[in-house]
Amino acid sequence: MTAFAFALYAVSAISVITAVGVGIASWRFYRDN
Amino acid sequence: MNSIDLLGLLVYFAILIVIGYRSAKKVSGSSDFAVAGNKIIWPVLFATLAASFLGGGASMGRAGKSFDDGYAFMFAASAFPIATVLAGLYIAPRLKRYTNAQTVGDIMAHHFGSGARLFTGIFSLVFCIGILGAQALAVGTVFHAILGIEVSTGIIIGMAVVLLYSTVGGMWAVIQTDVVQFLMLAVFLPLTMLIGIHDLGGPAALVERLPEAHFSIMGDYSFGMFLSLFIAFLLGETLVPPYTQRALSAPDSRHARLGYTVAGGFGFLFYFVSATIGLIALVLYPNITPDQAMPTLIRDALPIGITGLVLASLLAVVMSTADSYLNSAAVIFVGDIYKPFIEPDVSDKKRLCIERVVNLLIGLGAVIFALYATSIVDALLMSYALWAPTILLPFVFAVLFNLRCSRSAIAAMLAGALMTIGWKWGPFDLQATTGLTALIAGVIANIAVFTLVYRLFRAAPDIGATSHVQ
Repeated sequence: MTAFAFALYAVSAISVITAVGVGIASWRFYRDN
Repeated sequence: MNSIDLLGLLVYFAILIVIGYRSAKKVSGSSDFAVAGNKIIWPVLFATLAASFLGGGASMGRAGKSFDDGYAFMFAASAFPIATVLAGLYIAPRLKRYTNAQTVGDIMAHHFGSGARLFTGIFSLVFCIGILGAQALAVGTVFHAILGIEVSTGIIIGMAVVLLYSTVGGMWAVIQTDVVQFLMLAVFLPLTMLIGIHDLGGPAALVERLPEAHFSIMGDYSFGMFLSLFIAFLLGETLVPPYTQRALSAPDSRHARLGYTVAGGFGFLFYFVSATIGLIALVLYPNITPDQAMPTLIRDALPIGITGLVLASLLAVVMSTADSYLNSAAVIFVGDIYKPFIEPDVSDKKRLCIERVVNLLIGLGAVIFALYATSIVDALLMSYALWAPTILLPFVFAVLFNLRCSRSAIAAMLAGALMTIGWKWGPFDLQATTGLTALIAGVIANIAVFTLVYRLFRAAPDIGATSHVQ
């Protein structure tokens, strides 16, 4: 796998994982407020 | 558009309206409407800030520029995420020292007096309305590109939803809808990129089918051109009113710092995704116009069911920016103009009521400008070129070094504004003659006059500041 291909997949994975993390944190935040 | 896609879009709009309705119950005073009661924890702050600064320019605009110029524009524009990280490390945590502050004008008033507040307030208001008008146009453009409906109809549908939830729910609704919008753009735009890459035959096929210059850091730009773009992105939009308002919404300096720095980091990823979508569109659809790169890929390359969700994501990108500027415009009008200069003793209940009415009126005004007078939107957007040469640096110096001198700030703002206007719109083409852009010339004038006048007239600020440093 080239560095470019790795960057494409890594960026996509990080973006989705970040979204999941934000989703969970936000859900807890709204539940408590 | 397939009915399943349309259903996805309708569900998205329904979620936004429900959030607005539920948020209205949380808004009992002006601080709820303006800074969500200072309760926003860093993951939420990060999502709302990222959703606000990742607008039409960072998505469709960035894809269009990479369609033309390759990754070079993305590298130059990466100065903005760098500036956001730096603001997160050095500015955002310090903003939490100003208790009760809701606007940039509150902080300027604390350091430089009421004249600086008035200048900052009026300028920020014009700035926010201009960006709001541009985002309203972008909402209509997205509807037109994907659904084929009239731009004007798209503006009315999209902005009606934004007006509804932002007017009743204020910052609480804006932040919660921003989180939904962030989740959509963080999931579906990378998905669009991966599907596009798959259609091409993989990353290697993309590299093989484009010129090498499209993958280099500076592309076909000269060093001077690249540097000018880099500086423009470094300063042009940094700490503008809605972003500063986000830091002021945090409960403490730790949350402000983390929210800002993580949002800056995410900006790099998103820029890369948008730019890559532009390159994919260049290979798949070489004959389209650059600004259609992202909408065309979404419309033609994605499977049924996904298209509606990604369209909703693209609308989310634009609407989350529009709602932020709309909320800021209303808060600025009341906080920096109405309360200090028209009715200082206004009650909190009346203040909230005025903020809601102003929110509605400004939103309607921006829609009317976008529908019938795009030249007014263009005129208001001229203020975009003036943010860095007028307010940004006195604001940053004040927060970093606790400077207090009203004359220096006002003189620097006027000098920066006059220099930029003369450079950019004056009778002589000074940029061609000197090689300096109007922004850089304005910033130099701003810093020079601020420093000179500060050394001459260093003094205590005017009475009338409403925020207090802890």
